[in-house]
Amino acid sequence: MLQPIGIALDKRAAGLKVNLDAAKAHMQETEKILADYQAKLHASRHQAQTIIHDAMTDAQKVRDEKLKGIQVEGREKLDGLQTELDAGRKTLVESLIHPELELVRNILDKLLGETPALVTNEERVLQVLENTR
Amino acid sequence: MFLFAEVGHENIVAALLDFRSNLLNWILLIGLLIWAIKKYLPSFIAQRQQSINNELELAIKTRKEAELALAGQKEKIEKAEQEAEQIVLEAKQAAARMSEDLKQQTETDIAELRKKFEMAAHNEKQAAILEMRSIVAKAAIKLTEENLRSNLTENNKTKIAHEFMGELSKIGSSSMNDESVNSRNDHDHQKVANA
Repeated sequence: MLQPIGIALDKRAAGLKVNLDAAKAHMQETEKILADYQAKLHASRHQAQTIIHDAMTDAQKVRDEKLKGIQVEGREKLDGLQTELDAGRKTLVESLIHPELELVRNILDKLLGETPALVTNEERVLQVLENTR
Repeated sequence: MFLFAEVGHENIVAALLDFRSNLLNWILLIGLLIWAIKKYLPSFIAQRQQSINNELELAIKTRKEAELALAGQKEKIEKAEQEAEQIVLEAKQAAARMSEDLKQQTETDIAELRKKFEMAAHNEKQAAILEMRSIVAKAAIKLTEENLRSNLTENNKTKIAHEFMGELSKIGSSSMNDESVNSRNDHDHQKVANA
């Protein structure tokens, strides 16, 4: 009467052991595969971030260089213009001496009703033009 | 019977009461035990067998599920290659798009910067022209003043004074006309308001 019990118990133990071992093996393999999968995805994401970062760094570098070049170029142009204006100013002032004398003569003519003899010479006009701001 | 012959009356009673020496009692006990075992043990064994079978089925089921999960994970890992390639591909596309956007933004900024510098140069020129005009005007006034001092006579003074007064009266009359026009307008407004 007790023999079937022993057989059933042995059968049960053997079956449980087989299934438990198989499940453990599958679980370990699954965990390993999952870890590989996560590592691969992590590596891919890291690679993606690196690609974007590198591209943006390069683009930003090019942008900075271009903008810096334009600023330097613009600053040089403005400085050149300032130098040109300073140089032109002297020539312009010299060229304005006679028109200035004519203007003074016209104003005096209108004020006095006659063309007066000017006491101002060209040198004085140049001096006044250069000193007036 | 021989046993009873050997002992006395008190010993017979004691022997009858002694369980160990009573064969009938032993037979009854064993029969009772067999009856109880036959009655309760089969159902107990059947329950245990059922329980064991259930556990075995559960273990088999768990194993199958583990196998399925493993197969799923294996399939997933095969797709992971494609997924990883897709991620990298999308990153490359995004990087190219962002670089292009930044490039276009740079071109726009460069154009604006050039425009600003051109505007600054234009303003610089305009400022120089205005400054020169102002200098010419101020110099003309100063030189006129110097020449006027030396050319001013009594006749000139009178003429200039008359002209000055004439200008003042012109200015005064024009301002009075403006005031009368304003007061007339105010009056009209008042009329309209009253109406």
